[in-house]
Amino acid sequence: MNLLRKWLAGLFSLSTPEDEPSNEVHQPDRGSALTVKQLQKRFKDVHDARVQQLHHDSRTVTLFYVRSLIDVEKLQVDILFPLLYGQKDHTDHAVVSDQVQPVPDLEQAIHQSLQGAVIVFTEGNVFAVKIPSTLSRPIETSEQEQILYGPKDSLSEQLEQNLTLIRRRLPVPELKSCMFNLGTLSKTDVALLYMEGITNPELLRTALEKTSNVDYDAFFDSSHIGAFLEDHENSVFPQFQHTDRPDAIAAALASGKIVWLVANSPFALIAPITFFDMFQSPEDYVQRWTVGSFLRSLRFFAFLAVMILAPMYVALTTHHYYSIPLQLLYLLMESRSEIPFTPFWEATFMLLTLEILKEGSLRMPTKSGQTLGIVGGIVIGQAAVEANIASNILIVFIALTGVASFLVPNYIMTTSSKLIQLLLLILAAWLGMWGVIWGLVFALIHLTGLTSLKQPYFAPLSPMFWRDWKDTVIRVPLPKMKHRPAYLNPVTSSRTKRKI
Amino acid sequence: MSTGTLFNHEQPLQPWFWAVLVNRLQIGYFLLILPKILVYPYMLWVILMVGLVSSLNLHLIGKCLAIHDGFMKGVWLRVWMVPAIGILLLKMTLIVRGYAGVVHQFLFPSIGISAFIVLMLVAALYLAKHGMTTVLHFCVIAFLASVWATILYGFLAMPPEAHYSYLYPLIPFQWPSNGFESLLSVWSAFAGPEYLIVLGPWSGGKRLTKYLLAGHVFSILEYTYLFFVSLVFLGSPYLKTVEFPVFNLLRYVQLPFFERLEMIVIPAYMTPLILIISLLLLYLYGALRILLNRNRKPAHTRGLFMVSLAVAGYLLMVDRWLWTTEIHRRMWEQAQMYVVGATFALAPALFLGYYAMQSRRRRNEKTG
Repeated sequence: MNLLRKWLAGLFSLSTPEDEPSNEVHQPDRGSALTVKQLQKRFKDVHDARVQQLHHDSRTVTLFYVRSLIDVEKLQVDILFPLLYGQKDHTDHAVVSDQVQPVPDLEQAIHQSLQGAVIVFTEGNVFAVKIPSTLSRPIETSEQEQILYGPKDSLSEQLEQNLTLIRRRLPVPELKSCMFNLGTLSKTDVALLYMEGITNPELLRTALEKTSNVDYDAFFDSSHIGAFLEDHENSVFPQFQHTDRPDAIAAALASGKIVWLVANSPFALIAPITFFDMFQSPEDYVQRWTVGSFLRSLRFFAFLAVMILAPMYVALTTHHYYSIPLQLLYLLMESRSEIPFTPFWEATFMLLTLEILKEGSLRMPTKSGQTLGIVGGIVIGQAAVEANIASNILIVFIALTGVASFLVPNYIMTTSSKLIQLLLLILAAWLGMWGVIWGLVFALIHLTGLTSLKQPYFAPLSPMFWRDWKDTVIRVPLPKMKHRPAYLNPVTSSRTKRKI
Repeated sequence: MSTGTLFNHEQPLQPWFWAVLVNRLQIGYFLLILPKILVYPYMLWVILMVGLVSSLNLHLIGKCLAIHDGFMKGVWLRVWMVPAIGILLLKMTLIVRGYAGVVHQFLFPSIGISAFIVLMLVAALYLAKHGMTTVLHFCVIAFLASVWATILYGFLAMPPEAHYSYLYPLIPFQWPSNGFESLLSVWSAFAGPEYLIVLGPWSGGKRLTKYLLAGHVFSILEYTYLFFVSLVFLGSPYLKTVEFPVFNLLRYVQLPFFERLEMIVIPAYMTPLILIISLLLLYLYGALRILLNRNRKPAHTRGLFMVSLAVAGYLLMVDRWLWTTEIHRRMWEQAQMYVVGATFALAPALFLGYYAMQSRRRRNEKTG
């Protein structure tokens, strides 16, 4: 590259910003005057903002760019070389790029250069050539939603690359994408994807309206944008599905859902979603339908177990010990006889310990995490029993709760269940089983009233959509799933006729 | 929750929801006390007979539901609201105070009844604040959360626990002394769907009679089944002496890992009651708006909250002074039996009569 640069510099006098310049183009009546000087003034103290002048055959072309944001190789091959060897009358035609745009004013020039464009000043003409740096990590396997069988690729921080992964799976022109630039400081590119001819137009209108109304200074992750799009900001339940799996995104789009891809975030947002979507995994469709259905039902059972096992222990041992069969009661009495705490404090202490261990192991490097697992699971569990802090039976319940929480594929949903679990624990200590069920009824009321992108969150249960039960708690064989989810009210409901 | 959304009815309710609604509205407080009132085996026929007769009322309610043009206006409507509010409060009293009393008696004798009254109202208000459509949607949850309990009684319906000899005599030799009360209590037990007559805007003008009847038939089966189990397990002589036999029966069900199932069934039974209470809260708020001539203004959540606060105060007062003994309980049950029986019998017919009068008047105005 340096050789090419030397060769170019020898042929034409390539100059540096210090030498120079005054190639000014004034744009009449379009806000601030668009000049190289003005640009330099705005980028004062930005050390990687560069100005280059090319002189050849009495022509002078000035380039302005931020070096860290552009692809330097492309600058040399696609811009510098063609500018000097290309058509002399039409400089913008000479540039080898499909990303050439005229720049009307100073603000646009600033915006474009911060998006990785080179601003080219010629006599009487200013245009931007977008050659952003494609610095990114390679496509890796999803860490959050791991599966044994099925596609292994996942999204990265590169928006264009993510779009490629999705478009490869849905290579039809009906896959539409609307671009937004959100954040007055972060200028984050957001792509809103939907399938024309499938997605309900009313739904799309709501999504577009909500996205257009987002007003904030900086977004560094898709979840930050999701916070502005959700219908119920105080709910513990996620109203968007966060996923980094392109196959899950493509499946959602094909169902008639809407997807947001956010630059610099490897997680896409999917909406509308239902409570039941949180328990689905792409692997359900890889397994035999009977096995897939069983595993999915097991996840619901695990979710319920996470929420109520510890509260039930507290309710039964505090208020309803006479509900426990005699043989079991003897065991429990023996196990609890030396413990100086009430069942509530015993359970709270152990649950908090489990949460601390889990959070710790998530944040630690993999090898240390394993050690922490052993220390927590065996040492603390055994020590707690021997120190008479917790009973053996509670340890079994807590261990079951801990393992069961990993069955739910959506981690955000799992964390929500922890909060519910703690609230139920308090209710169990106060009002026993009545309190636990009151809390669950409250949660069910909350779920019935919840919406995701104005669509019912508890569908297909309430409101009831019979057809959608084919892919909810159980899943029927794929050839039998001939319709898209009815709660989405898609334009084309049938999956079998190619009407799009 | 934005203002004005409490009574929104953008989309009609799905037909099957009406069946579930009818069923859960009927399975209220009377389910708990009915077997004790009926006692004798031949009363099984009374359930079936009254169930059949009351299905005629369901036909009328189906017709009421098809009306959704908001014909009810004027001073007379405001006058009607006065007894309506009284009836709503009476129904709410029996459901909330009655159920809280059951929880107090069976589960927590050490905790005051008022705590349960307040908690139930909080849950009902939380549901009601989501608006009428959400309340109606909740009926599926209420159904699923409580209907499973009927399966548990299957353990007691088979020999050797059940004694089928208790089923005799199936034909009465003489008219029982409490015959009228039994008839009236069964009739009142089927009451509840009359509250649907004003929900025409949520029906989308569809013919819903068959769905209402489906829900009603399920209620008949449920009542018959529970009375049958109570009878064959406890027998008439003992059944007379048992308070709330439906819950008491569960004490005899033993599972390998759990006993005293009333600990779970009584709380689960709260779900349909919360549905009914939230519906009554919305009705009460709506009736007050009509009475105060404010029904053209948007329905505020704040207004609903104030109404709920007033209802909570009223129920706590009832608990403190007007429902303190078993005699009081019996009085409230009797009052409920007569009033609810009358509203179930008359409300649909009066509604249709009023509608016919209004329609005729409008026709005359057009032609004249």
